Amino acid sequence: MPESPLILLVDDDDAIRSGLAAALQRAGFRTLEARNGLEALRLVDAHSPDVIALDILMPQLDGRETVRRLRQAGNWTPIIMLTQISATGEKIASLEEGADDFLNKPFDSYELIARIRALLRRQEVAGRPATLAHTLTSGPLKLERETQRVWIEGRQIALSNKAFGVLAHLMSRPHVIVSREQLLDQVWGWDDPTGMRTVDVRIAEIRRKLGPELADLIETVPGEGYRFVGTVKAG
Amino acid sequence: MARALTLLGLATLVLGILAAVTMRLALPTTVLSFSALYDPASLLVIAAALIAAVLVGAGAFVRWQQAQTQRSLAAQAAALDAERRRFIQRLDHELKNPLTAIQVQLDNLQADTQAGPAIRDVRTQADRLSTLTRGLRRLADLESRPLELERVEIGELLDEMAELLQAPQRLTLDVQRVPWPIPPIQADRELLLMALRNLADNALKYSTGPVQVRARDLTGALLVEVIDTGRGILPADLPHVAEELYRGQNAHDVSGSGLGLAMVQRIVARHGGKLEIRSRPGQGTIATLQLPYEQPKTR
Repeated sequence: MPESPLILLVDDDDAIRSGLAAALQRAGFRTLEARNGLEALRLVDAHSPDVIALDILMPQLDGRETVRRLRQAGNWTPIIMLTQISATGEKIASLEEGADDFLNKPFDSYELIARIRALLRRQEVAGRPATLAHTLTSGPLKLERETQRVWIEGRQIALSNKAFGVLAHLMSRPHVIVSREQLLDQVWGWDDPTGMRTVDVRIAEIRRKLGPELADLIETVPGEGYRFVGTVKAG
Repeated sequence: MARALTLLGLATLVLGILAAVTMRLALPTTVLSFSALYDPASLLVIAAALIAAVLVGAGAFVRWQQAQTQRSLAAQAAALDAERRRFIQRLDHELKNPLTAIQVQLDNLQADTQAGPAIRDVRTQADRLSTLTRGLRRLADLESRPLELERVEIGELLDEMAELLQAPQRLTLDVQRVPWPIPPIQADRELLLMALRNLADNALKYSTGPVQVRARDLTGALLVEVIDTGRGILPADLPHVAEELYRGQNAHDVSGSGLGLAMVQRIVARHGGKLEIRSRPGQGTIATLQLPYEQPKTR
């Protein structure tokens, strides 16, 4: 039997850290704990964890700087930020600096466990996670993250900002089921449970604009969310 | 006051010139053979001009002072507003860590023991607090996130809104099509959708009858009215309903965050528009949004 995945928990709040450690162990993970970024970097070197759950606001070395140092050193361990900062700008900055996902506090342990499982299935494209690739292609479909443009067979299609965000998010995680809550949280920047149908409206827009031949690339998983079912390549 | 001084100054100038002209006509120059500078008519005009200049200057000074006072009052109001927002943001930050710890440890407790009703109750309350912090965060986000402006067809947006509502069968949409259709509006589509949905949700939540949403073209602005025949808002509550966490006295039996209208208010203000709510208890409520079609470049 393969060893269970090792999760590094980094948070300066003892109650959160020990509570999460207990929950993750119960879910079958092994855990390591660090109180700040410096401790975290030492533990990453010594133990090579499978996923890092990282708070942002911490003494000594904060979460964002920790991510930056890991990525600069060529370490691509999946990272989920446990963000406590409100502004959407902060979240986007964390993602650009190389975090794979973020989870807004307050959250419950089941949500974190679900996100960690998704990160363990993360697809790597050319040695780097697809979540961080600038351009993604799947058959005739091509998406460029920075310029927010999408082409089918070289012909550009016009998507609204949020529809683009949803497509980019799903394409970066091929074959992984992404819940509506998660899409709201990551693309809209807020997790409003009454706004879940907003996501459906954008999915409908994407399918309409992809056309009948490509619409099936986005699959609805009843009761769970959506997933991108094509093969995705970087570049 | 300022205007009176300016008018008085101008009147003095006109009277001076008239007096000089009359003098010149009455007394021919041959009689008064002083040098031009000592010509009484010229002196009169110069004196009138000086008095006029002083009066107009005083008028300008008074106006400047009034504007200064107004500016400092506006600055004080803005500072108070900013302070209140900072407080709410800090409160939100300070709630998050303890709430995360409570939720995580509740998960652990629930896994360890038989989930007793006590734990369920605590979880329900923790969830309520979480919802509150999410709302506060969203409100703070509305202040800081840049608007993503695009051209929005209000008819399309209202159709989308209707799709998002819980009880769309009670809703009728009435969008002006004749004698001309409503031009597209430049707006942040998602935020506008959120504002409209909030108003329509409220109308459906606080009434059992039909709810009407009307869109009309005003000169330079779009008008949207959300009309219900529900319980209405009490006059004492009306000036406060858009404040954060304010709940009307007759609204406590309906669940809500107390943040919805505050959010609508922010969204509308960021688009340079205005929100007006009229209500009669027992008759219903009309929420009116007025939004300019174009956004200034700097916003």
